[in-house]
Amino acid sequence: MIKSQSTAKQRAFPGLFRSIHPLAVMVIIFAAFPAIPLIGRFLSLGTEVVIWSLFALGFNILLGYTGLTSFGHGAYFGIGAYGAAIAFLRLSHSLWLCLLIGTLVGGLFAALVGLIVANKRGIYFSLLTIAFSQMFFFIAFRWDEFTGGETGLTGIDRQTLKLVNLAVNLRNPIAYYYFVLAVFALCAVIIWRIVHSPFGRVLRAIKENELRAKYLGYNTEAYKWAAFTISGLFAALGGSLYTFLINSAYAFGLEWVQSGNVVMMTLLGGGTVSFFGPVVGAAIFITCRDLLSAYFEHWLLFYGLLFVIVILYVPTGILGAAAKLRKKHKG
Amino acid sequence: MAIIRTENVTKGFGGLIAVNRVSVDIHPEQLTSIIGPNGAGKSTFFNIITGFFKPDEGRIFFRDEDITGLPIHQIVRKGISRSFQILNIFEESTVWDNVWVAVQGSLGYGKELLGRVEKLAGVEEETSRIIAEMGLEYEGGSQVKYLSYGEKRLLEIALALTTRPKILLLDEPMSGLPADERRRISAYIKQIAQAVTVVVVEHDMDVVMAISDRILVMYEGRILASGTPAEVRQDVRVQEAYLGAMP
Ligand SMILES: Nc1ncnc2c1ncn2[C@@H]1O[C@H](COP(=O)(O)OP(=O)(O)OP(=O)(O)O)[C@@H](O)[C@H]1O
Ligand SMILES: [Mg+2]
Repeated sequence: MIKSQSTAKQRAFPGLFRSIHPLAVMVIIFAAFPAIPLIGRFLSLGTEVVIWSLFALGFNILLGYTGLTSFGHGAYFGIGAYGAAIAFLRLSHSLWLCLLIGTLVGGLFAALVGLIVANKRGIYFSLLTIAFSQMFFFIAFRWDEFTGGETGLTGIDRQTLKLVNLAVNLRNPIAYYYFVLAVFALCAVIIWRIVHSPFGRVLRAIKENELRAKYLGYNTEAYKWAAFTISGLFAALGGSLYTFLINSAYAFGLEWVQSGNVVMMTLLGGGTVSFFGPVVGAAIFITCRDLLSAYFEHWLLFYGLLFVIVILYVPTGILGAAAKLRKKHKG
Repeated sequence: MAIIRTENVTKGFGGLIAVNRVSVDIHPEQLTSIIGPNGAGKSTFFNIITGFFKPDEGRIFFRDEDITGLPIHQIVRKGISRSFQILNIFEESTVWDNVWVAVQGSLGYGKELLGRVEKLAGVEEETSRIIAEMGLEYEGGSQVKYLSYGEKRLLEIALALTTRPKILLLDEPMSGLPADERRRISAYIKQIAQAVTVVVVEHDMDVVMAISDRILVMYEGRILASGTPAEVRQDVRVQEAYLGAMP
């Protein structure tokens, strides 16, 4: 009997890399980034790409695998960013501890909002996620003494990281890039495992036909809540890492634009058809944003146009279109 | 003891009362059919029993346990399963994946966040077994959308059975099928009924008369009559309200 293709490892890259796990290929490409001529110099751009890739990969558990479109996950990125910043300024300078606190605080907010939205459908789900993120943004923006309000929180600093008897100076941008990449690699493995696990199977069943999943005895609302919370945790970890990239935290981190961006990246790259879609999307999106905004004042126009083109002409994103082309080529 | 008992179950949609104070006992050892003209409330009645709708009034008991208002997955876990009038399967997946995810759930897996699907004990064997039982061994890897309509119907019943129900509610399992496929499905239903209590909503009178031990006749939201096929056939009210309405 021909079994399901979905247990077989996904092969995102053809040819040379065929025998290596695609996750490893991805990490190798990222690891080589600083050595790439021209763009390799823009390390903070690279770090930002990796952070957004982490955010988007986690987000895709919800969007691509469960089929729920949250337009509010920027909030958990932003809350994670604040959580890490506030922990640094008020509690401890330990990077690990600050990252942990940021992640847990953002995840907690996602878990609470998830309780309210998990049983909502379609447009109501999406609208509620926006409403909550706007509410959090407003609070962050106004709560001066805690969040710094309009000016945000500054004065954060990456400390030297002690790994056994090795001291890594994270102030060095290259060192921080590789630190973020290591965290990302670990998370990518975890997310890969999640989406290919029995739990991940249920998420896909819910995406395809929630009613049938219910009538198979699955408590679909609990699964949707879990997917919401898990994606919120990865968003918050991304936000926490971002705080230490820019050594500050601002309310704009929670803004709806952030939420829109992660949806855009995930769809642009092809998150609905490929595990790696969100990473491709994040890389292209962040790079384009930097390039366009450097040369055009009205780059947001291009951004809007890009969104329209993707939704209309390549709904399965770049990797989806690439797969289609390959298929055509083969016959 | 009745396996399902309803007491004055009522459900309205706006001004229309689709199910009106229905009290019935479903006996575990009988194959029960529910018949009645379009809009009589048969599907709505199934929807109430299986938790898709909460009744406006009345109560539902499963083996004397009150299950009114329980969420769907809990009702399923108690042993009530169903198929739908409009086919309800995972249309975008393969036959194998359809059955797999159903079996996985029935064996109590699904919460393994980081587990490996290949390592779930028994799921693969059970999935193969069910697919073979349906006679779809050679279709396992193909997308469900390439199956014939009858095979899809069969698959839906198989999915409903993976939850190991005590009672299976089938809503028009043969509608839209050609005669040979009807025979295949009705034989399958007879076979299932050996082990599981079956309730069928069906319009095909020949099938209903042939397979049923007991027939409930619904009309305008109420139970108009009930009895053996012979009794129901004789019933004047039924002839007037239902059979008489047919040419
Ligand atoms: N979700 C709904 N919203 C509004 N009205 C509904 C809904 N479901 C059913 N109805 C109405 O309730 C009445 C009973 O419908 P139901 O589907 O239960 O009938 P049925 O006996 O199954 O008919 P059929 O043989 O055509 O399947 C119909 O008038 C129908 O239009
Ligand atoms: Mg019906």
